[in-house]
Amino acid sequence: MNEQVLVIDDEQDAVDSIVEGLALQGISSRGDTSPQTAIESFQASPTDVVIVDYVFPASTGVTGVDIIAQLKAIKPFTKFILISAWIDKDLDENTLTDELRNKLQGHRYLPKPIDIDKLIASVKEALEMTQTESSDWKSIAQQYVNQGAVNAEEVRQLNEKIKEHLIKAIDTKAEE
Amino acid sequence: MPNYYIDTSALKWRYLNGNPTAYVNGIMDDPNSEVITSEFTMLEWSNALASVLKEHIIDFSTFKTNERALMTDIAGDRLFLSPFARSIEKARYLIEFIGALHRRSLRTGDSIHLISAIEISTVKRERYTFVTSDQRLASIIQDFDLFHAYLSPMYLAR
Repeated sequence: MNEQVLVIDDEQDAVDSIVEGLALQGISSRGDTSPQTAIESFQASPTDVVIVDYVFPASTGVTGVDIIAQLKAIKPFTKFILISAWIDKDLDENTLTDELRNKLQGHRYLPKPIDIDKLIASVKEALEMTQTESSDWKSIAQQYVNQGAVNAEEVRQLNEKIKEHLIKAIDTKAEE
Repeated sequence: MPNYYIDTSALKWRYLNGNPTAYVNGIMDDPNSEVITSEFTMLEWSNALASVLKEHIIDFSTFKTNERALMTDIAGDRLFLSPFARSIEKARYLIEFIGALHRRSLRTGDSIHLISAIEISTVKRERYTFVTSDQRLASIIQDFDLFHAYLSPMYLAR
């Protein structure tokens, strides 16, 4: 699995049409209708861009914003495009609440029904941004630090009890 | 400005307490020093953490905290990373020269670190101190003339 884009939407038809639309532009993607399996799939094989629906069935207990938060913890410099068919003033570009705007952190929002040309343009732009950032370790590192900086002294204390195991692991790996 | 290339065996003392910790902190926390390593170090460090996690010695939260500590040093310009993708071919020749022709033990990771350090030294046109906690690797740098224009070894004993 080396796809560039992951599409997460509880409607299979929506997933299929986006995956097909991206394929026509030479952009590889895979889709998932379950937030849980999508997160597991992303953990195993992260993509550069994720297109995620905002509203999922109540039984899942999550929204697209919750999924973004979980995926960002796995790969912080992923780009997200949030989509939704719901008429929700919180998701109107002009009336985003500060809280939601903060959670989205500059990621794109597109209303449903999806304008495939706009979506493809957004995906291409996001892929270009990711390529630039991926070549810059400082940008990548900053994304991790945005989730909470950890100073070296703090982690030395944390590692005190496991020190011998870590030394062995590093030295053993070097032997291979 | 003093220039240092640090390999994973030495960098680990940034995140673990031991005799070399003060030296590693000294160079990394000195705003007048430049400390660089290969992108390959990221893999070696994550791999070591994953090995310990697999043995249920640490949990995933500790894994991520360690990862963020390394990222915090990179974001804070205490550690710079050098791309290693273009080093592979040269590293292969180094294994052939040192490992095959001279029958010295040069591991895959060592060859990548050495080539990365030489490339940085070449680009910057400055000699780098190669900081390692691997005495065997420090000896190789010391014993082969080809490194002397670029690197001087600094062995950190535990």
